[in-house]
Amino acid sequence: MAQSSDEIVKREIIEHLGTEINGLKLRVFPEGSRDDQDLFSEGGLTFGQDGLKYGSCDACWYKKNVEWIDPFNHNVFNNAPVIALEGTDALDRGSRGNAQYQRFHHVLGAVKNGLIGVYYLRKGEFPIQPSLYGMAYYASKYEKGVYLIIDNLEELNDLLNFIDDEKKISNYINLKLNSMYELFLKDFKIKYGSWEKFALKRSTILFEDYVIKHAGRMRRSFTDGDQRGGHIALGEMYLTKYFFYHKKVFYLWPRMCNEDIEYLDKHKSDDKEWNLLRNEPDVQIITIDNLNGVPGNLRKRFLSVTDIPLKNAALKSYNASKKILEEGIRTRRIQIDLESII
Amino acid sequence: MEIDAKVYLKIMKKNFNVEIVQTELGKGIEMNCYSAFIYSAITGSGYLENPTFPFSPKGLMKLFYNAFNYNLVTGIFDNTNLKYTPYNLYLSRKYLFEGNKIIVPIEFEKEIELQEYLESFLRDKYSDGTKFIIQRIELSKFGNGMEPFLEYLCSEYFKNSGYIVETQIPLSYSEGTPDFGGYILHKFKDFVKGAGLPLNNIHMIELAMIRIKMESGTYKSTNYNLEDYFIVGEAKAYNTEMKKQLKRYLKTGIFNEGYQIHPHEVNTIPNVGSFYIDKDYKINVKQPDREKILVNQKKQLEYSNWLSNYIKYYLISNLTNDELYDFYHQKRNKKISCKEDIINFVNNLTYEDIFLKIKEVSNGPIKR
Repeated sequence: MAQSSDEIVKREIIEHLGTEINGLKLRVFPEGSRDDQDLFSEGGLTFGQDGLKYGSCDACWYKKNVEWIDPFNHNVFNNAPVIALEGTDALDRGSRGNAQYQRFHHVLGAVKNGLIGVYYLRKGEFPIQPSLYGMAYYASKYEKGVYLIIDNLEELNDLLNFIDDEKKISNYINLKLNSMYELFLKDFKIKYGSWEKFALKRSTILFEDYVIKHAGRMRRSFTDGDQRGGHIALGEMYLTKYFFYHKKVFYLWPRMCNEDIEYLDKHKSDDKEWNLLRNEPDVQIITIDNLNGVPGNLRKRFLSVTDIPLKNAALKSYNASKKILEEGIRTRRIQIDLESII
Repeated sequence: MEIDAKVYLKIMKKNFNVEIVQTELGKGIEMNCYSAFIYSAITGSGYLENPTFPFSPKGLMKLFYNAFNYNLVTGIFDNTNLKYTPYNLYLSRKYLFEGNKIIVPIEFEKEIELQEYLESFLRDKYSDGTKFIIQRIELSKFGNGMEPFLEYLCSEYFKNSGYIVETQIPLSYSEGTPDFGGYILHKFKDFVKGAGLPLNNIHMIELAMIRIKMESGTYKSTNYNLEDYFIVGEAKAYNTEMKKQLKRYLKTGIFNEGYQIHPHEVNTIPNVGSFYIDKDYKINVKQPDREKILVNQKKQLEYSNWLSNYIKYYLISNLTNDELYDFYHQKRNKKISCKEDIINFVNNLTYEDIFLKIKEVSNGPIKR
C-alpha cells in the first residue's frame, strides 16, 4: 500500500506542535484509516453543513468538554473544533497548476462551520498558485469562518497559541488575509488586469447577477477513478464561486446532456465530490440540454466529442464549437433554460 | 482466513519462530530492534511514543517521484538535505534502535476508541511506551486493513529467498504503484564481494541502516551470485481483484513474474502466482506457470540501471548532512547548491566509494 504525502505532513505537524498545544487537543489519524471520512462529531475529521458533507481534513485541534452544535445535523457535541487543517507535500511532487485547487473543498466544510480552516502546502519546488490565495481570501469574506493558506508550520503554531486572545488572533488573521490578498492581486494584475480579461481567459462569461463558467467535462472523467474528474471540476467550481461570490454560478458542460447528469446522480450518489458539485449553494451544473437557441449543428458537434479525450482532432473541434457557443451566450442568442435544469 | 489478533499471533509464531509474550497491552511478539524497524516501516505499525499518532517510519523514506528518473520527493532527502534517514531518526529517537520491541496486535472499530485506550494505558500503566509497537487490526475494514502486514510477510519470504525487496516502488502514475517488488541483481556480486553486503538478501531500507548495524556490531554479510530476476506483487486482504493491476505491471516488461498476495490461495494465471497463508498459518507460495517471456530485455536493463543508482541513495543516507557535504566537497571541491548537484554526485559514485565513506565515518564520533 503506497503512502501519499499526507504522512510526511502529519509527522511534521506532530514533531513541531505535539499532540496537545495551548489547551487544544489534536485529532489526527494514520494514513489508510477511513475514520477521517466520518463527521467530526462522530469521531472523524469531516465537516458539513445542513446535510452536505465537505472533504475530510488531515487534522483538527479542538477544545475538550466545550459544547458544539454540529451544523451538519444540529446535534450537540461536547468537543468543540477550533482549527481544521488539510496538508500536502504536493508542491514537491509536481503540483504546479490547478491540482492545488483540487483539495480546496477539504477544509471548506470547517470554514462554512465558522472554524479557522488551514490549507497547508508544504514548501517545495513549485510555488503556491496565487489564485489559491484569492479563492481562500474571498471564501473568508463570504463564509462564516476564515480560510487561510500557509506554507510553514510557524504560522500554524502562532494561530494555535493566539487562539484564546481575541484581539491577537483577530489581528493575526486580518494581517494574514491581507497578505494573501496582496499575493493574489499582484499576480492577477500581471496576468489579467481586470475581471473581464480574467473571464475571457478562463472560460467564464460575466453577466450582471450571474456568471457562466464552461468546461469540457465528460461523463467518463467522473466515473473513471484514475481521472479525478470530480476533484478537478470541484476546484474550478470553487474558484469561480468565490471569485464571483456575489453572483450565481452556472457551471456549463456542453459535451454532456441531462441524461449524463441523471446517470451520474444515480451512480455517484455516495460520491462526496459529485454531491458537492450538485448541491453547493448558488451553483448550478448545466448541460447542452439546458440552453435555448443552440443551433442543431453546434449541438451535434459538441455531442460528437462526448466521452472522448480532448486531444488532436477532438480538441480542435471542441475549441471551434466552444467559440461559437461563447459568442452565442455573450450576445444572448443562446440563453439558459432554467426550467430544463435537473 | 481473516487476520485478527489471534490469527496474527499464530502466523508470526509459525513462520518466524517468535515467542508470544503477555504484556499489559495484550499478547504480543518480541522482535529485535532492527527487524522491528523494518516491520514498522512496512506495516505502518507505530511505536507507542504517544497515543494519538504512534511513530512509524512508513512513508517517510521515499526517494523518487517515479522510476527511470531522479526527481527527489520529500523523504530520505528534503531538497538538498538528508532528512528521514534511519540514522537521523536514530539520532532523534534513540529508542528505535535500543533493546527488543514487542509488537502487540490490537483490534478496534473506531480510531478514537484506540486512541483513548492507548492514552489510558500510557497514563495509568506505562509512561514510556516506546518498547511497544501497535499492530492495528481495523475491524471496521474488510480484511481488517491487513494488506501492509501481508506485504511484510511477502517481503520477508522473498528476502529470505535471495531477493532485495521493497514495498514502496515508484513505477509511474499510469502504471501504478505495486505493493511489493523483489529484485535479484547479478551485477552486484562484485560489490558484494568488495563490501561484504548481502545485497540480494535484504530489504531496501536496510541499506540505509548499515551504519547503525555496524555501530551496534550486529551486522552480518552473506554472498550471493545469481542472475537478474525481477518480481512484483499486489496485496489484497479481502477481495481478490489483483489480476488487472498485476497485468499492468507485467506489461511494463520490467518484471519476470507477478504474485497475488492474499490471505487465501488465489487461482494463478500465466506468469502470476499466489502468495498466501495456508490453513496451518504457514506462508505458502504457488509459483506461476510461465507461458511466455514477459521481460523486455531493454526495458529491464534500463530499470536495472536505474535501480543500481536508486540503491546508492539508500547507501549514502547512512551519512549525516555534514558528512555528505564533506564527502561532496572532497570529491568535487565545491559546495552542494541544488538537488541536481546531489543527483550528479551520487549517480557517479561507486558502491565502494560510498561504503568506504560509511566505514570511515562510522569509526569516528557520531555527528549530526
